[in-house]
Amino acid sequence: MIEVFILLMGAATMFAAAVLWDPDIVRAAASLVMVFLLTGFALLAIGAWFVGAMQVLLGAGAVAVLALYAAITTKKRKEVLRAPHAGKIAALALGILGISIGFLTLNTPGVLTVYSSDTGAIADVLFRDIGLTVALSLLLLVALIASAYIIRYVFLREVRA
Amino acid sequence: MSELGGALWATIPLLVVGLYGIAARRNLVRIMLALEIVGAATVTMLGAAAAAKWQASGEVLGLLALVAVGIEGALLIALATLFNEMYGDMDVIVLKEGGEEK
Repeated sequence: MIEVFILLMGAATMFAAAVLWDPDIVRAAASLVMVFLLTGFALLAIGAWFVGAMQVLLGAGAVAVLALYAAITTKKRKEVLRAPHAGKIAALALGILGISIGFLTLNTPGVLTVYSSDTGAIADVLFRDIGLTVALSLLLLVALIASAYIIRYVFLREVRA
Repeated sequence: MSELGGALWATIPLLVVGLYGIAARRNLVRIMLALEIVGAATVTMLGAAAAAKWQASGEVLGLLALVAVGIEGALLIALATLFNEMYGDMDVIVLKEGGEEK
């Protein structure tokens, strides 16, 4: 199934390019939904169904839709894409970095077998060490409080006006 | 090349495109979208590693990465909404220089 994985990742990369180079920011955010969907399906194809399903549900269903909301509420919907020299240097440096990481993985041990998530094993890892669950909950709580703290200025300004 | 190597090779372009977006774009929302791409690539790499070697641990790490992506997404959306209301501009260079408050 690695062929399906590579095919889906190729499509996801093309949508990722659309996220960066589409001048319409709402269309760019819609492409991000496709990136999450395709990467999620790619994970499902190699048998990692738990994280694949989470990628589709949380990534495409929540994170990307939130990004779409941010794009829709932006006042300047059309962006003039500027390509300074820094961008070209960054592209070159990141290209070299990507190829280097790729060569490092040439000798990565491990064979991708027909793998299917085992719910019991996942639950063991997730709940055996309760610290992880508590840490996840705290992280989410802190993020929500911080978001509410930042956004309250908007409403305070409107009330004062 | 192991098949995990193949899976990582297939994921690296996605990661590089996301990193390029963070480095080269000036619109805050666009940078946020690029960060989400990097997050998606990270989760995919962890999922591929789970399928090859790490099994359940890799999947739980992938879930942790996905939660982290959600958190930074929520914070950046809050910041984007705030800057949009205050300055009506999303250019990070303009925002860095103080912007012009409405």
